[in-house]
Amino acid sequence: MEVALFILIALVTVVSALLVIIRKNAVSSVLFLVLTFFCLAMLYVMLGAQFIAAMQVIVYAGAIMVLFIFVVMLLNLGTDQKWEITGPVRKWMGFGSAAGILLIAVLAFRGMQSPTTEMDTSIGTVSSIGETMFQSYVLPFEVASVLLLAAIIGVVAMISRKPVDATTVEGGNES
Amino acid sequence: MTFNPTDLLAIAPEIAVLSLAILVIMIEVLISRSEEVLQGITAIGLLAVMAVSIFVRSTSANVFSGMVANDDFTMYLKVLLTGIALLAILMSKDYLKGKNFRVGEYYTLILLATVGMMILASSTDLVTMFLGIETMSIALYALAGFRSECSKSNEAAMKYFLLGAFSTGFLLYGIALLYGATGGKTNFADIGIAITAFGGDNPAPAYLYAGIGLIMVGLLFKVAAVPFHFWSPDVYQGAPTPVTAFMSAGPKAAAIIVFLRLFGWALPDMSIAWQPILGVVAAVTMVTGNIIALSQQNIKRMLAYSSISHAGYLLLAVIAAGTAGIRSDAAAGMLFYLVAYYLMNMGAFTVAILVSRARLDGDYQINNYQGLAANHPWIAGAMALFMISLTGIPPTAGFFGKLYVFSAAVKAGFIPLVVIGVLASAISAFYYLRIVVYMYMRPETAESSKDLKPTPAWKTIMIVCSILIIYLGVMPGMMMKLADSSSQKISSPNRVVTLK
Repeated sequence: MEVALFILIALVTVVSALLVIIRKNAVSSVLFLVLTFFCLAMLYVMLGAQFIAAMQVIVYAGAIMVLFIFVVMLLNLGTDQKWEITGPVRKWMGFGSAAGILLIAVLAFRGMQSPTTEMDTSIGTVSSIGETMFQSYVLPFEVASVLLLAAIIGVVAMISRKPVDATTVEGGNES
Repeated sequence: MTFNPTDLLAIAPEIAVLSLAILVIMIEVLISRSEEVLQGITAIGLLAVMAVSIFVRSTSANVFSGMVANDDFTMYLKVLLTGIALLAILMSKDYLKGKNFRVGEYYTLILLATVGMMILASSTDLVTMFLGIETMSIALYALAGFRSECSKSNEAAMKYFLLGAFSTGFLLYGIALLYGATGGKTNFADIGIAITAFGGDNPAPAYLYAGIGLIMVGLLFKVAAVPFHFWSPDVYQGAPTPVTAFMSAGPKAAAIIVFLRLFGWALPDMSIAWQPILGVVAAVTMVTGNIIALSQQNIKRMLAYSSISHAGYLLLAVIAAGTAGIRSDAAAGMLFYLVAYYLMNMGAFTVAILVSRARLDGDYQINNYQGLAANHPWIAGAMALFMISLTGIPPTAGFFGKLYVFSAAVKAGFIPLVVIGVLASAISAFYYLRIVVYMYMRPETAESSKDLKPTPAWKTIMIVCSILIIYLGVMPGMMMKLADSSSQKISSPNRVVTLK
């Protein structure tokens, strides 16, 4: 059961990741990226890392993807290429999705009635992650902040140019 | 293990460079945008960092639960990396004049890249290694694209960024596979212990080999070894020249050192698998880099291919480090080589800036060096010295660097590789000495008789590099003793803490 579930999720992850780069329409690319992130969150849950999974959904699939979608829509990239499924396929896809969601809901409900496995509290909880991160991994944690600082300064330096003064490009365009 | 405040002493140089970076950007925002002020603060600050690296030490062998090494070897590397940043900043001083650069951000990014390089060079854990590489690379992506009005520079930044991000993917996947194969270890020493358990009835899983291969790809990209070198000539050509000089010395040094630490200290038991592959890569790198350099007409591209071939020589030390008993020799040779390479490369790029500035079109063609010696004997002399040292002819630092690296490889039994290395150096003599021939034996042109106007900062770089190259070439004993004694005691701390 678990292996089958893993294979299913892994397949969806890989296919949606591929679609992110294959789709020409930027909006559908971004939506497939959301799907990829959700699938990764499911994989984390299966590994027992509930907190990381929740963070994955909240931070990546939530906050960051909203930003992505906003940028794409503001840039107006998503209008030229439509990807529509028409005809009876569309109807059956709808039925299929609804049935799938219903099935998952029933299974989840039954699972809640009689949990089969004990939750492993040694990993994946907030406190164990916090302890690991701020004790043995405190240095990498701080270096990550330096990395972000470098990225921020780099971006600012690259996008906010000083006004170009025509007389001072001396030696500027050499190869 | 709980956090021990004295651990901070071990990373004092990193903290100092980071504080300096923040100070510079804050001064730029709040107090003064003057280039002189920012440059002065950065340069003096870096001198202070050198002092901090030498004098502020922690005696603890196991800092931050084994995340970074704390020993003399690491200390010398930090001094070297600070020195690279210092010369890059001195070189930038007059280069930036009249250019539309955001000076504060420029210096800050160089300093942040230096922090990343220091973390990388001292890392003894895959996590710190990865973060070090990324910090360094992200700062460099932005630096490569600083000449915003120049399309070549934008191209360089874009190429470097896309290919760099791609190679990071390989590196991360390799780290994940290695982590899985060793039962959840990221610490170099722990990985080494976990790997000794394989063998006999318990063969190493195939994905361990895949992991090592992918990590190798990621690191070979960073040191620009063939066949992962395609980005480097374009990036070197497009980036502002002081950044190119910085890039050719610093990141290469930091990445090759972590290569040595990872493969020599964590994966020596797998050397049967990786030594032949790296051997082929090193041979191809030395030969290809030197042969393509022969046909270059632009000095920045020529130096880019030369730096590719130097990565090949340095890989010989990594390969030698996989053989038991040779690894401290290899580390010592590498340290010496890196110092020598840094001095001669920085010097050569300084002369390249000087010569190109004198021309109206700011061109970097090799033809510009024709007859340079007639009017500028000192500059031509310095350039000739740098070229001779890059070739590896005595009595220069470059000769002893090659000698020590090659002798480590001979001791480890890689004689065919050393033969290829020596032949490749012989090829390299052609294009390095071509510049010397141009300077001394060609008639001077109207362009080369122009005043090059070397400023005090550039003069200082050329004088310091020349003196040190000759010093290390005539009396390599002290530096070698220092490299030897420090590399005997390279620490590879274990992760003392185990997860609950």
